[in-house]
Parts: sequence; structure tokens; C-alpha cells
Amino acid sequence: MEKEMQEIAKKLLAEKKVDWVIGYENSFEPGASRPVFMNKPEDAVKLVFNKSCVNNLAVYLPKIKKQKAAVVAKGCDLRSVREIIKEHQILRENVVIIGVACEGVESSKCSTCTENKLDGVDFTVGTVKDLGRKEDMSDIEKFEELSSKEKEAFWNKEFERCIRCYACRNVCPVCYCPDCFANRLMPEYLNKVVNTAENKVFQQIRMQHVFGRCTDCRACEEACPVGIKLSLLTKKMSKDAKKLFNYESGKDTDSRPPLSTFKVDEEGIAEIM
Amino acid sequence: MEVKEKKLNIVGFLCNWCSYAGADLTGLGRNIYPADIKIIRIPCTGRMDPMMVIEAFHKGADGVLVSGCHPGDCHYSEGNYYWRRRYAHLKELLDFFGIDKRRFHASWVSASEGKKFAEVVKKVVTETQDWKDSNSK
Amino acid sequence: MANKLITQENLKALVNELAASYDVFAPKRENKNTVSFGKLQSFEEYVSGVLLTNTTAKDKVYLQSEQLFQYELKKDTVEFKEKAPGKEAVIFGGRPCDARGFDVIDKLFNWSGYEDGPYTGGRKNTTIITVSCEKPETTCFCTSFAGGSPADGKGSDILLTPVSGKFLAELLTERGEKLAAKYSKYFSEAGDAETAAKAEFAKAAEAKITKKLDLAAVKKNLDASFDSPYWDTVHLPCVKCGACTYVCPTCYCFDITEKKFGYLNGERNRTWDSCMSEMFTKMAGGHNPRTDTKRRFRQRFMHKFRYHVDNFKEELCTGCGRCIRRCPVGIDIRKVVEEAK
Repeated sequence: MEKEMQEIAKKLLAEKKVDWVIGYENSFEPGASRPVFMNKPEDAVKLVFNKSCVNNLAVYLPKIKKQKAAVVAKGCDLRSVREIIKEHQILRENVVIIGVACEGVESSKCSTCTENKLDGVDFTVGTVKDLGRKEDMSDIEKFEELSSKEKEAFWNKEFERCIRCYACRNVCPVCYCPDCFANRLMPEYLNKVVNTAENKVFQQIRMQHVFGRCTDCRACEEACPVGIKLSLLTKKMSKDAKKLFNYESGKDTDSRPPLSTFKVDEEGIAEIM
Repeated sequence: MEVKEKKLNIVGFLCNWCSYAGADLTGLGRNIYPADIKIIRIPCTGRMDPMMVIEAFHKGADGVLVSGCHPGDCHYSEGNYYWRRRYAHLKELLDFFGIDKRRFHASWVSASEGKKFAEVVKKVVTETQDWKDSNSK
Repeated sequence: MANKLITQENLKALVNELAASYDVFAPKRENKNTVSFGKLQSFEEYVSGVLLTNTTAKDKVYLQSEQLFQYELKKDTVEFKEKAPGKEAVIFGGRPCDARGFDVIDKLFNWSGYEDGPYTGGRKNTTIITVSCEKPETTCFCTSFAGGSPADGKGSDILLTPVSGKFLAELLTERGEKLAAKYSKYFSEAGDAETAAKAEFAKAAEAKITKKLDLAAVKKNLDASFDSPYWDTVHLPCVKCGACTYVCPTCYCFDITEKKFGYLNGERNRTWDSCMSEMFTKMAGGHNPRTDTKRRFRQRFMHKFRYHVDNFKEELCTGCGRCIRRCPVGIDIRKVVEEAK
């Protein structure tokens, strides 16, 4: 599988089809990997793919706008790539997608993954198998049944730890705004002071901003240095988008994100007012 | 209805073209409604940034009401349709964060519905009070 | 300074007694994958086996957000209120690299005759009890630094080293001696055998750290590489979050902001800031000298291994390797500075 991937990368770089290949390389200890950028064909041998390749490489695509890049994408990352193309952050012709038939990495999302099909990729590495996994929303449903007080107490405990390093925001493929509300001083939605309440506001606003665009890729949860359970929120949002607007982000590259469109007769939210 | 002492902090974001005028008419028509609501005028519910709702709760609001034109009556044709979608998901998301559904409301009140506005505020105040009572237990 | 011995049981009793009268911060499990310095109620909560907590102990002395003062406008005066000093604290179970971090920042906050009130106030109030590391992790590189070792006591008040089923307690400062004197019933005298055993322990632990940076070469390379094309590509995987700087025991940069409560009162706060953030160098007029991510990325390594060495004759790094582990994209500080050219 790795060989195949290296060959593709080498060919793309040698033929100057792309400026960069973004993939994974071995990291500081055995069994760890990290994202790598390469622009020389001889570097291609560095490419690896194993269970530790959890990073969502789609996050780099909006940053290389004017250049061409090939990106290694798992099924889940592919949804983010589509979402970025949909939002015109990169042109489809500027990105070469090397899809990987992934059977799961060390991430919480993999046990319920239904996203390993690789539709619309330029190259497929490995063979896509039906993993027979099913979506499971039982944890969200269980959390929804708690009282407001219990929910608040849970989140207070989580966000007490938050150090506001903004890793969750910066690894998010759809958080590409050049000017984030958290950095803005006028109007100041978010004070620089780090405390539970402010940390919660940051995440509430961030989650609201990525609603309908978040593909539940869990990059934010993987990145969090203090292990805040952000997957609960992203999963909840993908559930809501499906329930309220019958929308799944990252399924295609041309539908409208749910909050930028409307229907006169809404079916999902008819009883809301 | 008896005028009670103000107890709650409710922020009302009202659309300039319908609900704000509706609230005006409530006063002109001598309809009495609770004084717990503070009104902020916005150009259209389509301008209603969800960040403002989150910020209101963060700064200590007990409840938030957003009110605008009836669907189809928007001064800008479609602003309130967008708000309807935002409201639906924001209510779910905030509830997930522990901001009770009884604290966050939206309604359609036109410029001629002074009486309805008083009813809406009464409902918002009752529900918010209900939440506050159950929460302090 | 004196060496004492303390048994496992006595250590447990000591921590329990300390927890009753001080704020004791020690590695505490937050959830399955997170261990951070938290306030200990009893010894049971202490997680002893973890080398690298997710965050450092730095934030127990140098708070992430600290109120400098509150002000209120009265009729014709302005009234200032300063925060009352906190309770006396003990940081227990940190590692030598964490303690060394304090030693590094101490110099900065007491630089050229200036004493930083909030920091030194907190520092004077805190006793640091460190535990030597037996099995270093793959990301550890503390032996690269002058005097750095998994059993080094720099910055600690008391250093505990496991020897023959007990702990050798080295009382390294006055504060440490005072604490040991106050709870002398738990300690016994240590002999030469234990001291020798400690030296043996340190040697064995040091040998387990395989990665050693040649700091003189690193400094030389960084001195010459400011404009090098090396930095054009090496920063690309970095997503520019602040995780590395916020989990670092030596990163000390801060920002001062005001918070207004009304027209008449407010407060001034000091908050950690990160050179990775775009806002870090943005000026009031809107100009930003470090506009692109490359410059910000370069700054972090240059500061740690070049500018700080110029100013203080030591690196702004203790080799704990937290930034490597906590980095969402696995950027290895050792590799970056070693390969700089």
C-alpha cells in the first residue's frame, strides 16, 4: 500500500503535475506519524500509511490556494476535501486526491465509520472493503436526555481544562477564516482572559460557525492537548444537520450548506416557532 | 395582569420592520406585559448573528427572545427564512451546552400584532421563570 | 544541603497532611488520556506513573490569566484594588524538567533589577517537591542541557529519588528545609549508601535518554540561518496553534488586556500569549511585523535556542518534550533546530 502511494507521489512530482504532495511520514517514535510536505520526487520514499495517521490533511488545502497539491485522504478526510472545494477555498483542478482505502486508524470515530468509500478521487491506494460498521448515535441521545444542569456541569468540567491554544480551530479543515472572531478586539466577543465561561463561549461560537460544514472528522478532538471531549459536539451537529435539514456535509461538492439556503416550507423544522 | 417587580433579565432582539413596531403598538394599545425584557432593535432577523445570542447568555441573560416578520413578510424578502434555520439548530446546540430550551425563544410578530407581542413576552417570561425555579432547586 | 529518607507510607501521610493545610497540586487524572496538575484532596488521586502531564506545573505559579488590579472611578479619585496573595501551595510530583522551567523563568522575571510582583509573589508561596524519573520517554532530551538530568534538582525545593524501596529526599533550598523541619516526623536521616545509590540511579536514568542535542552546533547554525530558505518549507506542516507554547514549562510570553465592567470600573489582566498567534505582534495601528506563518514559526525556535542564549547564557527549553507530544502535527523541536542551516 505504501509502495503504491510512494509511486504515485513520485510520478506526480517528477512530471510536475503538482507542486506539493501532502502525506504522512514517520515521526518521533515507532508507530507515530506526522504530516509531511514534499516537493522533490526523491522524497516520496518518506510516505507512510499506518494506524497512527489520524491527521486530517485537508486542513492544509486552503493555505496553498495558488499552487497545486496532491493530498493523501482517508474516507473521512475526503469529506473535508469536498467541503473545502464546495466552499471555493480551492479549485478541484488544483488538487489531486490520493484516496486511501483505510480500515481504521487510532481514532474514536473509526468504530462507527461508514465513510471509507472513495468516490471522486484521482487515485485509489489499496482496495476498498465494506467494513460493516454502523453509525451509532446512542451516546448523543443519552447525553441529550440529561437535564440542563447536568449538561452544564459536564461542560464546565471539560472547559475548565481548556488552555485556549486554539489547536481545535487551527486543525479544523473548515475553520479557514483569516480573521477569526476570537482574535477580533472590536467588537470583542471573547476576552483574552482564560476561564471556564470564556472558554465555553469560544467553543459555542466556533461550533455554531462550523455547523453544517463540520464533517465530524474529529481532528479537533485528536488535537486537543488536554483531551476535551469535542466529538460529542461535532457528532451532535452532524445529527442535527441530518434531522433538521436533511443535510450531510461533505457528501458532494455542489450542494448549498444548510445555513446559507432555505425552503419556504421547511419539513424538518415545521413546528419550531 | 398585575404588574410585578422585575426579576428576570431577558434580552429581546426585535426586527425593525415588524416586531419593533409591534412592541410600540403594544404600548399604544395599553396592553400590559412584564417589564423583564430589554429590547434591542435589529434591522432584520436575518442579521441576527448567533454569536449575539451566545454572548447575551454569556453576559448573564436569563432568556433571549428574537422576533421578526412572519414568513413571507420580510422587508428584505427572505431574511427571516435564514433566521428560522439558524434558530432551529442554535436552540438544539445551546441546549446541548446546558442552556435550557425554555430560555431561548423566537416568534413572528407583525407591526399590527400589539396584543400578540404582549402574549409572547408573557410566555417567554413564564417559561424562563419556570426554568429558573427548577434550576435553583 | 541535607539529605533525608522518607518511606512510601510516610510520603503518603505527608502528602495527606500537606493537602489539609496547603493547596497541593500534583498529577491528577482528568480523563482516560489526560493527566494534569490538579488540586489534590488526598494521596489516592496522585498519579505517580506518568512522566509527562498534559500541561505543565508552570500555570500554578505563573497563572494563565492573572488579575493585576481592579479599578473603580470614584467622584474625584480612582480607587485601585490589588488581588490578595493566594494560599501557600505545594507542587508535588513534578519532574526535574518541570522544576528547571521555574529556574529559567525566575531569571526572566527578575531581570536587571526588576522584580515581577505577581510571579515572584506566587513563587515565594510555593514549595516544589520533585520526583526523579526512572524511565524517560522517547521524547525526553533533558541531558542535552548543562546540568540537565532525570535526577537533577535545579529549581526544586525537595527532590525525591527512589532508592532501595524508599525515597531519598534532597533538601535543596531553605524553603525545602523548612518544610522538612515542619514535618520532620516523617523523615529519617540518610546515609552515604543512599547518596551513592542516587548517583547510581541518575547515571542509569541518564543512559536511557538516547537523544542528545549538540547545543553549541545548534546555536551556531541558528545564528547563521535567519534568512535561510530552510524556514520556507519546514514550517509548512505547522498549523500555528499555541499548544506547544502553552504546554511548555519555559514559555513565558504574555499580553496585558483590560476588561471593562461598566463606565466606572474594570480590571487589568495578564494572560499568556503565544508567538504562534497572529495577534502576538499585531500593533494598534494594524501593522504586523510577523505577518506570515513562517516568521512566527522561526521566532519560536530562534527565541528558545538563540536569542535567549544570547541574553541569559542558557536555552529557553528544559527538554521535557511536551511540545513534541502535544503538537497536533507532531513537529519535533529537536529535529527542527538540529537540521537548521
